[in-house]
Amino acid sequence: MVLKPFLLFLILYLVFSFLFGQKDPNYKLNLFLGTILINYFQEGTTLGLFSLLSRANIILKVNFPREIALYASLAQASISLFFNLVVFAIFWLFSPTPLKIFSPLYFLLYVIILALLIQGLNFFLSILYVKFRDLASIWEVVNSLVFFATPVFYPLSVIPTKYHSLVFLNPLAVIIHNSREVLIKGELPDLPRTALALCLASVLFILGLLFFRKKVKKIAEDF
Amino acid sequence: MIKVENISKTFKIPHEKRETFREYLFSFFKPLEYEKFQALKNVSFEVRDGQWLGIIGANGSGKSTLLKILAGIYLPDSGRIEIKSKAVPFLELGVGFNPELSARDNIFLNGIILGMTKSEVERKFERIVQFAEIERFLDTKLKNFSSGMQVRLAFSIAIQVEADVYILDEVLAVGDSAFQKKSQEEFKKMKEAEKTVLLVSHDMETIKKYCQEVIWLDKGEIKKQGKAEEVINAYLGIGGNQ
Repeated sequence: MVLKPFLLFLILYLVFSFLFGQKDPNYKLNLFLGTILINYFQEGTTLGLFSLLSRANIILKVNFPREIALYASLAQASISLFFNLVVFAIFWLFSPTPLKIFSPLYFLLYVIILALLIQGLNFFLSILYVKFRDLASIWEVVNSLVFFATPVFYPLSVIPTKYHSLVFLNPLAVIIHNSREVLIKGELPDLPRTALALCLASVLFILGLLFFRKKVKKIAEDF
Repeated sequence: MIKVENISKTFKIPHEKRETFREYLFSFFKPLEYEKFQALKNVSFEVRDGQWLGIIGANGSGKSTLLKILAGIYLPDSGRIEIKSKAVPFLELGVGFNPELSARDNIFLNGIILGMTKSEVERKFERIVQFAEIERFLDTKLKNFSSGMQVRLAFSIAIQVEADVYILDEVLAVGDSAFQKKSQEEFKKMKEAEKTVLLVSHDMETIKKYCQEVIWLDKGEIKKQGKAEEVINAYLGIGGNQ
């Protein structure tokens, strides 16, 4: 659980550090933070996708607010995020990055936006997976698309500047990029883009919640 | 009090299974054919406070569907349900048991799933363990329990849940004869405490013993409702081998 993003980070580091490492002195930290956050997204949505169906035996026997099953999945992913961040913090404290008081606070904001985003998606995924059992494999492909579409292992600078606004329509890119800005560079985040990502995540969360509440009442019949 | 008015429930049973995107894509223009199965037709009844109502019927007559609707797991297509106090459904014993965890952890897990709070489980922990007679195996993983011991534990947790209305689906016959005797004692206590109970069972002796009134479900409809003795006799007369 904790090892997965770390090993992924090691592989990516071995493969790409000679390509992108010379230009960016903080490539190691940037890459590690990026893999941790993208792993949170992938693990969170995958657990969320299975969250209803994997608890079918309980859902068919006891009536409880079904949202709890989803929050439990999010909590599980959040726990592994926490342990990953502890490992990251060790690297971070021993690196010559500027320590600023506001950095962890801003970072917390990005984690919250990310959690909102995951939960919003899970409201849809968990219900749809009951009806479409091949969604799990489709979602795997989507996840790897997300991984490549988000600047995790490559720096933003490899993308032409005119496309940057396009990249930042992806809330994950905003979250990862700005987390790096505040934690590793010690700079202030890009607030308009943050606000946009927060709006997107909140709208998704609210729409998801409405969709979930409407559909979950009859979902037990499709198990 | 439980009040059930005109409940109907129909399930759609598709002729071919279609539960992946691929299947939807390849049969986009083919209408999905399905059969309708009416599990419940206009079922109405009332259970007064302190009353035990038995529900009998052949397999597939809609008993479990009815209980699942009362438990809030399925929504009825039409009709109304009113349950005016804290109701606990026991549709199965040991819901949420995790075989990889110890008996101690499973007591908490199952107790909380059944609606107890953590401190409530802590308070009743001793009684649960004593009743199940598993003192020696408290920290043994559940997967190393015999199946009899597992249901005994599950039953012991279930009877500690405090509620006014119990919905019981075939949970009486668990364990060896000594344990069954003990659980019969618990049921007597429940009866003396004037709990409201909805009891589904194939064991006519138990039904006769505890329920004044019985409902006979047949193909989703109430075929007969009334005094326990009368309904059971009518049911046995036609049903035969039960």
